[in-house]
Amino acid sequence: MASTTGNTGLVFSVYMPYNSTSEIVNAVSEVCAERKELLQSEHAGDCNGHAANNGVHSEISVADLDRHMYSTGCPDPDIVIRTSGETRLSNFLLWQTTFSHLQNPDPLWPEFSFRHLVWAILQYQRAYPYLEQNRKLAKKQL
Amino acid sequence: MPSIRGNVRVAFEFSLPSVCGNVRVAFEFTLGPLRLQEAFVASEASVFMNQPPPHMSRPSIIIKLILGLLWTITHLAISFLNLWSHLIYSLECYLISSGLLRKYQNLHLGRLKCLAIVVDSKEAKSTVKVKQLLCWLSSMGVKYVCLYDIEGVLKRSFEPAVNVSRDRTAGEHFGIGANIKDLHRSQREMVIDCLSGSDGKEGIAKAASLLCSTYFNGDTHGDGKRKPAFTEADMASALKAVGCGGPEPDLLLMYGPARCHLGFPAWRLRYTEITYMGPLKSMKYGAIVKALYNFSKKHQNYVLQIRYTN
Repeated sequence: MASTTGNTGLVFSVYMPYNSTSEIVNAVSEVCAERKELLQSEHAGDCNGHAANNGVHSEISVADLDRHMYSTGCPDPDIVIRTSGETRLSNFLLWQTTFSHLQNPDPLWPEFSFRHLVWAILQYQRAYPYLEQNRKLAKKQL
Repeated sequence: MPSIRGNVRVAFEFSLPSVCGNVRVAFEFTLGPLRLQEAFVASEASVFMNQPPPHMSRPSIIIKLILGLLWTITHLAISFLNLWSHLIYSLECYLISSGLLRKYQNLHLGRLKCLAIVVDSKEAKSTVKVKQLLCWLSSMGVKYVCLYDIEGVLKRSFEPAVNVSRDRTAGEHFGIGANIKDLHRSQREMVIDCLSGSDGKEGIAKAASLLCSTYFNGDTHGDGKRKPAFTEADMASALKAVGCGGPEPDLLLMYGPARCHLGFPAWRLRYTEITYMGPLKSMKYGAIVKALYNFSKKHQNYVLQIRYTN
């Protein structure tokens, strides 16, 4: 990572070991810790540590969890490719793939080549208008 | 002569078709404070400096046109291929429906404890189609169905009828829910669970809020450490407490314009087999039989055993 810090081209992320449910639980833990620190700093010196604001501070939103996901700073994937024809997500990026185009080509990973990638992008282009419409609708509703 | 105070920012933006989809190209440059006429002349000069002059951009325009034409031809060819494969698929579904393909006649649905159906919200407004789908699934012996659409159309259309038919005794009938009630009263008694986008990320946020409030009350976790040590089991319990629990579907059928789960509750999607079925308006009985048959033949690894023992 240190040797590629100055690069400006492609960003390559490796998720290992990883599962999405652990990521969600970790995000919840971090938000709780953040809120507790906020609460403690607001009530520093006050003997009544459990003030009425507890209820407000314990309200967690989707945006709060988004900020604490491992993938914060990276855009949600447009395409998810699972090779070998498997159709499961297997606990991978469940939070981030709401509007991702899921693809499961038959070739095994070592056989996955440039032409398969081009085909994947062509398939995505066909689904793009629908997915983009849904993303914009979801953003408006937030 | 009028003058412009401060910097002038000029931006050009346009879209180009390319192999990797539409590419947005933007040029932006800043001019210093200038008089209006000079600004106009300077901007033209800057255009020439930052972009090739018109007589040199014709090759690039021709290249762009050729790329655009290639892109269109490629997608036209894919459309023809899709049409051909759709025809073959429709023929296969017809043969399955008519019982001519023997291997699809006896479905073994022992492994299918829960089936999820994700529908595009616009297509979900066609309640007749959804009811037809549910009737087919019931006739096949599916025991538990989760209906999902992101905007909650299915929840609004079906949940009141599902809840009412669960509460009422036999002999009472409701116009809207009559078919659903029959599904419950039938010997196969299919359970229908209606979900929406609010059960997805928002449901997880509600469960997180519950965990947070118990953490503040000092009931659990952390032992005084900065960060609470919640576990997946805690999260699962919290989801159940806020009404977003439920079984994890073994198979998920997606109906819509694209293969996308549209925010189906993440906690229930971990090891679910996802099958794309096409638009709801062109759903076929044979396609569902084929999907269920393929699921029954699917080999899943040891992770599935771990899931059921948790």
